[in-house]
Amino acid sequence: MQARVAADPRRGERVASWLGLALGVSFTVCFLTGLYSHFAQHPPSWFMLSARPAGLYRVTQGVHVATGIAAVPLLLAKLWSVYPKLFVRPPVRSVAHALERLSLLPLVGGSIFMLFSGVANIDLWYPLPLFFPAGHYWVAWLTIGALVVHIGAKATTVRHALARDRRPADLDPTTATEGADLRRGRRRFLLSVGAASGLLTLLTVGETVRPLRGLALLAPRDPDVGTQGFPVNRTAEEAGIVDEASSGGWRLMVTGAVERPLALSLEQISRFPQREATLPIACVEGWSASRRWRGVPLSAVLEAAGAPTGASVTVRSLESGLYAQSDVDADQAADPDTLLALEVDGDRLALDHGYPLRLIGPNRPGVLQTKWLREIEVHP
Amino acid sequence: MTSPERTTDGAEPGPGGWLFWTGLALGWAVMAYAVRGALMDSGGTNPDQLVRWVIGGALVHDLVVAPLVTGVALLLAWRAPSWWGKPLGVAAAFSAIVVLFSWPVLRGYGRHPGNSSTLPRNYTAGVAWVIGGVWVVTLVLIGFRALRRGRMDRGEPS
Repeated sequence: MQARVAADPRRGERVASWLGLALGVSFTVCFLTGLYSHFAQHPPSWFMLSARPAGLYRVTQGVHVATGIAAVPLLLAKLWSVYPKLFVRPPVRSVAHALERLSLLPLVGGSIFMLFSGVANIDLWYPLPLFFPAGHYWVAWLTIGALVVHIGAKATTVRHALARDRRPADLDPTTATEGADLRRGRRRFLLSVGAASGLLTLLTVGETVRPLRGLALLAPRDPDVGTQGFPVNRTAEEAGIVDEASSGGWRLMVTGAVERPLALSLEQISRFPQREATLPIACVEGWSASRRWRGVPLSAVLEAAGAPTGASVTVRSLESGLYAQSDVDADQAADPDTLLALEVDGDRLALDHGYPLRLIGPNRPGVLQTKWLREIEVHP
Repeated sequence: MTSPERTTDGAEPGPGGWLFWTGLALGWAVMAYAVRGALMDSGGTNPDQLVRWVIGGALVHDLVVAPLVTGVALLLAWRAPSWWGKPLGVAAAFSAIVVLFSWPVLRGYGRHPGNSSTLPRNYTAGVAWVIGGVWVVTLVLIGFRALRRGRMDRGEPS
């Protein structure tokens, strides 16, 4: 068995090194893009979500999900490749070795957890008895910490293994005894893993890269399917706002640090100068859909209420719960394309998309494009 | 095989050096930050369950998935010649990954009645197309190899 494993080109240091390198890059990309999304939704004091470029959030979250999906075959192949090392004797040779091996538990467990919970989340499936964003966020830190330990421990091994790969085998004493079959087997294995990663990504990425929509056989969303031709995360029925939103008594309240608090009916809002902007709804779950929106610039309503220049606002929805409100910082509030939207693609907003009025702004996470607005509170 | 990072008896040497110790200190500090954060945010993270799922994931892999896959790989290597056994193994592994990855959409766990945009496709057909395509390519490849081997056995140029 040991001889068979030793001769298996799929379980050598070079394969583990190449897969480790690919996983290191993909996990780092996932971590940074995930961190960006976390800060966008829960901004620390030093972070400001810039309104431009308008599609930045869409790109980062598309990359986040696509890279995570690509990492699934990479991780499975890497774990399989290094599995015999689990039984290495002696299991621990020093304190340093013990600490390094101990960090493999959060690395392996965290990696599996991240990919499993991430895939479940994009599929709108929540089998874990915890709040997905919180669990995914903190386990991401745990996994990255373990990855840093692993990189420190394996950097030299990887450097040597990859350096040998760049040298001609016949000049390299360390590879001279390797048969051509082993090298071919290693290349084929890596190509197979790369093909699996690429194919899985290709079969899903069309939920955000529209030209690839036809290939997205496994994507949990279709950017062209849903009410008014694009996806809905939470319907009006699910939000429980159908009666309130349809009521003729609906008003948009503008409150807080303003000279003239307002209570605007839909008709009064319609009389403001209108503006059109093509902006994406971009979800943290990796789908996005660009649409042509028409409505009143938020800045025009703030000006009418006598809000101070450079004000930030909080917008509130008719719905209750976690995403019932969102903050719009000064940069976003002043952007002319941050709209209180009345129409999408030339039609009045459907209830599921936020009728009577919703916020739509450049470079905002989908959950912060608050639907069914009822109040704008202005902060000085 | 010998290499600069191996000891004379062929075993991997214990980790060490400034890069290792820096990575160890930094990595464990980040992990401590993560544990602290998960505990502080216990309403969302449900720490007991989180630990079970993280450790459980590693255990399920090490005790169930990896032995199973290794067993199948060894069986293929033992019973099947590599010219068709290896492509067969790759196709089987890829099919398993596709099914595993697609399981939630195949079962329709996240489909919301009243929201046509959730899981809008026919995923059974999608998975069948993908796996079917992989097996067609694999069988064509094996067929070519069989033809080439037949020609070589008959002494014809390949």
